[in-house]
Amino acid sequence: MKNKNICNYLFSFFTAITLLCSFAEGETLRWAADTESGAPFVFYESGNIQQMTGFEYDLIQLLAAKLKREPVFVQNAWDGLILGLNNNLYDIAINGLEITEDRQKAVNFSEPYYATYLQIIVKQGDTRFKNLSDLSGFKVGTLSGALSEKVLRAQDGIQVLTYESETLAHQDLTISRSDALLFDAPIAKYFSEINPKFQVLPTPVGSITYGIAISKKNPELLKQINKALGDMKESGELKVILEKWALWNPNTASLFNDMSPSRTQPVSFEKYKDSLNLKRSFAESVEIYKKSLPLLLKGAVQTVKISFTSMILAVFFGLVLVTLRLYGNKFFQIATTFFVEFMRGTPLLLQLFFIFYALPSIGVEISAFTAAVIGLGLNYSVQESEIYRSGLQSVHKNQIEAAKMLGLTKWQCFWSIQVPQAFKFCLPPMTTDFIALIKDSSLVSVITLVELTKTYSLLSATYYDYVGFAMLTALLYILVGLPLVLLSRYLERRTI
Amino acid sequence: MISLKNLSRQITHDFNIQNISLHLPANSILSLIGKSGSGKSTLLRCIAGLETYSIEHEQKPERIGFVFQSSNLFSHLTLEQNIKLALQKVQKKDSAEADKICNEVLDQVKLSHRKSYRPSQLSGGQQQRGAIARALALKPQLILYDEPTSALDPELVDELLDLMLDLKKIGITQVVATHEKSAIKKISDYVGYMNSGELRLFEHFSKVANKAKELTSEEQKYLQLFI
Repeated sequence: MKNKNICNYLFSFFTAITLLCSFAEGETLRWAADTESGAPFVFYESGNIQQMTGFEYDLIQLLAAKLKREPVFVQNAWDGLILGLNNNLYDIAINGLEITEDRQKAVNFSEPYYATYLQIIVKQGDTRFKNLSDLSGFKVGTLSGALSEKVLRAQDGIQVLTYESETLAHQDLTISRSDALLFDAPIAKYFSEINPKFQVLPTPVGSITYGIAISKKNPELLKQINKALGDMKESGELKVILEKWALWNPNTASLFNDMSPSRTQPVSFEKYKDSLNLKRSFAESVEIYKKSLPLLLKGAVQTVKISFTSMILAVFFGLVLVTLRLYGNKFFQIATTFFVEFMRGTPLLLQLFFIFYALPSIGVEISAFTAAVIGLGLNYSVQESEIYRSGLQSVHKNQIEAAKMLGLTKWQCFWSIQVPQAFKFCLPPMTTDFIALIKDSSLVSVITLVELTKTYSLLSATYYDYVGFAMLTALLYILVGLPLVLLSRYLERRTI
Repeated sequence: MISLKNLSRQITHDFNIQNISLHLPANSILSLIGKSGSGKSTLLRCIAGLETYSIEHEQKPERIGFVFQSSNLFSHLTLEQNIKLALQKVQKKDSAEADKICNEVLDQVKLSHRKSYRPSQLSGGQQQRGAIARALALKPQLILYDEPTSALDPELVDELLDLMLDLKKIGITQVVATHEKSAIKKISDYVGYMNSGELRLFEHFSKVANKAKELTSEEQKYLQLFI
């Protein structure tokens, strides 16, 4: 069992590397989206976390078939979708990415596959606003990084609230933390219109088009995709998909130059609506938890892998740092002090982004897992080294002088006397530090890794159950940290 | 045997010991007395080589043991491990030989039954004797003690003094900084009185009274405490 796990671990590690190396030439089409951004783009079917769906999902399946390539999905946080393209983590990104000038500087966009506009959402019965200019002086929520955020920021006097997910934005509107929301029309349709608590203002705000983002290094793929998209528009296949999802609108009709009458029933939209009306009994919820458990466990295993590998790095590098800082020459002392202050003074999130997204631009390409381990490991090595430093310095002076009188060398004294004694002082803060590391490992979801917290986000957004899954996830985190706590207690007892 | 001529040490600006000369024959015991801060510890630490100092001429043994006031024994090791550590790591003796020496010295300080105890499980007096055993294992010619009895209960003090007298019999020179009246009377061959970094040496304590006339009234007052 143990061996198998290690094999799995190595296997997934190497697959990740091979994936990185196979530069678009294979038969796969690696496509990225953030399933957490939800309906109707790319999301998991409510009540069936194994099944992905969404109009963009359908579009990709068709597109890949046209290109005769196997679609392979890569999860990435929405904010990082464009960055990941340039790092060759995947071939294309599709997730309601509005074609904007700024983004076109970084990546190529296909011909638009959908045209739409923004809409204002308010609480049912709220008559204060008619259009965008009415929102001045109020709190308005939207998705962070979306075009709608830019639109809001350009409008004077609006206090912009940004969210990672539509669900949370709607929750805040319900409890009046915000006065209104501004979303792409598809989101308004899938999140606001179907909920009697909200009201979508009919006036369209601006106009936007979605495109598939492709790395500038890959102009050939851009051509192929544009051709395939053209075919899909021509044949009406794309229209069928959009109609199934009840997304066909005049903007898209004029974009496609297709004024033909509607032929397809909005089956996917209806199915989605039905899935929302499910009032689950407790027993049904438990059934869902049972079904989701393997996925949560998979997330937990990823969390364990990342955390424990990072811990080993943190301990090792922490020892190197503290040795250099306390016993190195002037140069090493200054260098390590600088390093410690730098790593301690900057956010882990920033460090992760830097390692994963900025290093490749200077030619260092590393997998998400490696980046996560390096980021967490280095960050925590600094804290570890400070713990060791305080531990080493709390060893009684007499103990060191006694060692000297016995003729032990500095090095012998360090390893035989100082380190074992410092270990006892260091154990409790080290345990706390490692538990913090396990929790901080949730940050690595920003660099495409799906660990426990990300799994929670996906599951809760899929089943609209934020409480039950939160408790399950919390329990798993505690279980992951428990062996550490027990080990630490055991060691503390042993080293009286 | 130990012989020093004009040993000085400057510690920052406000305190130093200066021009200390001293001659002790083998297997004698010197008690250093004097107020706190008079430089007793500094002198011991200079002799031990734990401090840097300047000196005109010195002659001292190669192997010196040091017994601190407290926290002598390595707290994470058993008594036996404490003793064997330097034997094996410094003197490179094999395990069997280290065992043999360890048993001998523990016998000498009457602690054989506490071999596998950790320092925290020993009484204060046992810890001090353990520290002496550890020093003895390396066959020192000189042992320095920095207030070895000050952390001990009165009844344990005698135990330690008896041990020091035993060590004298086997030819070990000993210097002890102390405030312990009984110690000075019971064991000293010489008494050194330290005042503001200067040493005044007396042969045996009984001589102190005779020389009292040479002393300042303040010094006399302090020394009276020990008579």
